[in-house]
Amino acid sequence: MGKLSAFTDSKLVLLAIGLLGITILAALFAPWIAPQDPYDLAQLYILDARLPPLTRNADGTLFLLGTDDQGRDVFSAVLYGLRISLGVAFVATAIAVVLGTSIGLLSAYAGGRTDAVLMRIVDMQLSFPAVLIALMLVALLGTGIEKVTIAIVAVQWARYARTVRGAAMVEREREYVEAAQCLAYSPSRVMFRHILPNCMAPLSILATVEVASAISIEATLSFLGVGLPITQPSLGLLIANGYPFMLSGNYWLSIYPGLVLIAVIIAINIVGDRLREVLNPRSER
Amino acid sequence: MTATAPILEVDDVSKNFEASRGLLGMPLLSRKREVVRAVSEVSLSLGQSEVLALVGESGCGKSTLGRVIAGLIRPTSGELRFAGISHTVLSAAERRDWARNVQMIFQNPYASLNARQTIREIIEEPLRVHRIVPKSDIAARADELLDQVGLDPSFGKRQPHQLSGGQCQRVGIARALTVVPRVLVCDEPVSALDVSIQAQVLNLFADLREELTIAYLFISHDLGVVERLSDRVAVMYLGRIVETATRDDLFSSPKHPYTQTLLDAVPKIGRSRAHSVKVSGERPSPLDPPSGCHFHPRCPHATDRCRVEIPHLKAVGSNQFAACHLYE
Repeated sequence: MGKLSAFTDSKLVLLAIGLLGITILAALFAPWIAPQDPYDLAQLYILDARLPPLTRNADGTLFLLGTDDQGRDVFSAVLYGLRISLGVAFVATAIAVVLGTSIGLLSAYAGGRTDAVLMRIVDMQLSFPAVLIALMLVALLGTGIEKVTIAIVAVQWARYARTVRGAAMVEREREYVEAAQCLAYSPSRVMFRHILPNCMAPLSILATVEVASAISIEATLSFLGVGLPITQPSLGLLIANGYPFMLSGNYWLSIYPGLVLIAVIIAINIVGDRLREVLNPRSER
Repeated sequence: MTATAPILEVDDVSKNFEASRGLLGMPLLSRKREVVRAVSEVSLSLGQSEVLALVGESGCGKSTLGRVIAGLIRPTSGELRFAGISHTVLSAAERRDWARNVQMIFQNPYASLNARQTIREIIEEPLRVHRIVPKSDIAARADELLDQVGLDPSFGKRQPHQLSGGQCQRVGIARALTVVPRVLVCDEPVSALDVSIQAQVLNLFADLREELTIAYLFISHDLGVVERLSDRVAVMYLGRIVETATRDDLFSSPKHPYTQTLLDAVPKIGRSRAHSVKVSGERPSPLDPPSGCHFHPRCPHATDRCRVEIPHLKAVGSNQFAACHLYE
């Protein structure tokens, strides 16, 4: 309970958590909240195209954030886009956490040559810019939700592996691990039931921040046109689609998805930083 | 040595550590390889319900020997036997058997418990993994074990950080007792505790020994603790056993000059300094141990023979053995 109250005594963090909660709920319940299904072409009316925010069309329907060049409601598109952006980011992060954590634990526990080889692969992976690797992979694999997810996992697993390995190397030398080995527990029990729970602090901090990074990688790929297909517009793709109309004054096509993207990423980073302060035993509470 | 057949025998066990490792763990590109002989050619035996104390200064290899016996480290050479059965190379199944017979108590009571588990989880896990009791009896058995080490079963809900050092050590003992071991390797089990708590935990060790048929290998540098608890004492210096004797013989008439030095270093009221031995110089590095008898650079009785020839344990009394050229 002490940790929870320490976590929430900052107003900024409360604001960030509130914002994240709202966006996650909005993404989950998009089909019920959105006034329009942006994928249903039958609902679109070309005469509603490029209406500015807060205008009504001839039927009296209010377009909160305006419409795009197809007459699509930007507010609905942002909600559905959020759904895809967050979905891809959470799934990719979850897979990367499991993969990276397993490799990091194995590396720390096995030591010796296994450790040396795995960590050189991690070094290699981390020496390239994340977006570059993701770009190359998507170029090789093609576009699509699952391919973008694979690209993000491929970029991020190495960070978890390195972080978990570092924490596990420290834990491995502690006597409770020797006690577990002395009781002849299986290596997997020692790794996952004993060492891993004691490495959760750095892992959870990293995972939080990396969700934000996954969102931005996906947005970058989509913006560059190699991410998600046009039929599944994420926030990045919405920004890209609106981009040609920026100079013609139709700013709302790109700006609103962009603002939501920035808000989500900043909020996640604020929560991650706070998590770091709370979970770090050396920092004063 | 003892009346009963030994339950645990350590036969000519050595353990070397390599001090430097090259790129990718291969000798290639590595600097000069340095070998630390942490334990060399140690033979010991432990009788049923016997308390054998292993004493020596820090870095002499007594903890390494304890870990070899507990099955945590593989010996470089030599053999371990439990109840006459050899365990030269432990397979996975043999490791489990060994673990059920030989358990270990660690020095740091907090670090030896997983901070993320409750006390109950810590005690119940080995019962479950080794299927010691039927599933339905696990909770009751855990309560019983906590009671046996002097903890109220209500402690089960707590986590290690909510306990004192002495209480944590009791949990560590209860965890070791879950598998009903016949041998308990205790690596400095009370040295991290306050003196008043030390006495309580030592009493617990003494009580458990009477209740259960259990032998202790009690590793310690505290001769006061050793004198109180042990039946027999083995003295280690730079990886070798230099003297073994019954407690009374060792404390009344130490034979090896190193043992004499050790006993002399203990300040005691009313003890005459009859065996007074002046020791000079630093403890040599185990990376580069002296030739012959490891103790010769600090030994007042050293002869040319000591500088060349390694002395072996020889009987110097009815139950006393010393590795020293003086007694030939």
